[in-house]
Formats: sequence, C-alpha cells, structure tokens
Amino acid sequence: MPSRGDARKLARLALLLTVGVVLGRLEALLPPLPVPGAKLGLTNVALLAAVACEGFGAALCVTLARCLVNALWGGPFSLLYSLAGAALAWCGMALILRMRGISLVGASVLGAALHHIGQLAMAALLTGSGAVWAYLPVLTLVGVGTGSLMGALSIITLRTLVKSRLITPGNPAWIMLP
Amino acid sequence: MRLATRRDLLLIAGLILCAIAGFVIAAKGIRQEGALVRVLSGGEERSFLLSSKGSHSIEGRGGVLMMEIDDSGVRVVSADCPDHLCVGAGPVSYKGEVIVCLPLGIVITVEGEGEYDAVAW
Repeated sequence: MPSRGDARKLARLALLLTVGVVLGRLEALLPPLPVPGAKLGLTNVALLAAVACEGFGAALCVTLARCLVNALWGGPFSLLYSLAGAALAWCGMALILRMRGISLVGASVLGAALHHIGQLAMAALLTGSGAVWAYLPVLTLVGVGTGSLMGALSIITLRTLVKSRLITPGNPAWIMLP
Repeated sequence: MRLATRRDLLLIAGLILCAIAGFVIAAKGIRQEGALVRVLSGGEERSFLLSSKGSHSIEGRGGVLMMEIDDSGVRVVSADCPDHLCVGAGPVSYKGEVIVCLPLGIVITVEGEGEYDAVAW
C-alpha cells in the first residue's frame, strides 16, 4: 500500500524535474560561450538538489527524464550529447560524494569535467574523428569555473531551503552544515 | 560563508593541472605550418593542399558548409548550422588545428607534410 511518504517523494521529484527543464530552457536562451560545447550547467543545480533530497538513484531518473524533455526543443542529436554527458557526470558525482570531505562544489566540478568528456566522446563517435578531443583542455578549465559556480549556487540554495525547513538534506556534509 | 572544502579545492587544482598538462602535450607539435587540409564528413574524407586557394562546398548531415582556403589558412565562410561556432573559429593553418561543425558532423583538420598518400585537387 503506497504511503504518504511515497506521494511526497514523487511530488518532490516531479518538482525537481520541472525545475531542471526550466533551467535547461533558460540556459538555451543565454548567449553561447566561445568554446564549443561549453555550458553554464544550470541544470546541475536541480540534479544536486535531487541528490541531496532523495538520493542518487532518484536523481539519476530525474536527470535522464530532464534530458528527454529538454530534447523536445534541442533535437535528437542534442539528446545524445546530453545523455552521454549526464550519465558519465552522474557516475562520477555519485562516487565522489561518498567520500568524506567533499561538498557539492567538488562534486559539481567533477560533474562538469565528466560531462564535457562524455560529450566529446559522443562527438568523436558521431563524427568518426578523434580530433574533437583537442577541445578537452579548454573545456576542462571552463568546467572548473562553471562547476564551482553551480556547486556554490546549489549549496546556497539548499542551505536556504533547509533553513526554511522545507527540506532535510540526506547528508548535511555536502552543503557543509554542522 | 564556507563554500568549499579543502578536498574540493584539491580536486579543482588537480583538474587545472590536468588541463594545463593537456595543453602542453598537445602543443608539443608546436606551431608548425600545416600542409594538408583533411575534411571528414559522414565517413567520407576529402583532402586539399593548404597551398591551393579556393572555395569548397562540403556536404554534411542536413546542410552544406562553405570552406575557403587562402593565404591566412583554411576557414569556414558559411554553414547551415544553428550556432555557427565553426564560422567563428577560423582561419587555421598550423599542424593539428581543428575546426568542427557538430550539427553537420563535419571535422576539418590541418596536417603536416608527408602524412598523406592521396590528395584531391
């Protein structure tokens, strides 16, 4: 018999999915960065919030669903790149957050780097050329910047939500709460 | 307000180092003038001499890209893609430089002498 907690969890995940989709659309409206494939990674905030509230498995579902919905605007190829990046990023973030002494900033930076690697791998696959990997050093540097920013944004957002008693974080160490 | 742990910063430093190392490794071929332009599109490859001048129309996935070779190197003049990052990238003329148009699936690379065995005039 489904409990009230399940309904709450479902509602929360649906909300996070919606937020993720909206952030994705917002990001698409922004001017592109001069480096091919570089993005701000706004949607990562929703993903990290999902991880903090409902755990890694649920967060994976949310981000995959979010990729699908955003692909309605982006098209099939953008979906391939998104999925490749998001899947690899999720693996890395899920692993690193199990370590002690790592916050959402570290996870976000690693996620950004892995997202770029995943996308480049897909690009190399689709173009049949290894030349695209030439962009990796630049993208990694960009990823450090955007990942740090988005990680900090996630932490600030989640701390505010916790303070307003709207959520209880799964692991307070991630947002560096005592 | 604490926004990062020591391990976070270690990770960031590590990634930056990796990126710089990547740059160094890639730049080992340093700024050597290229000789050949190799265009890969949908599994098909065409080659042009960098010393030849001219405009070439490259067909990609769902569109066409205009590539021009002149004294400044090879660049993309126009393309049927939504972001035109390829147009903004050129011109390139050194060994190892790359112009990519992801939406059209076209990769243009510059290579050095003695690395090709067939050239399309």
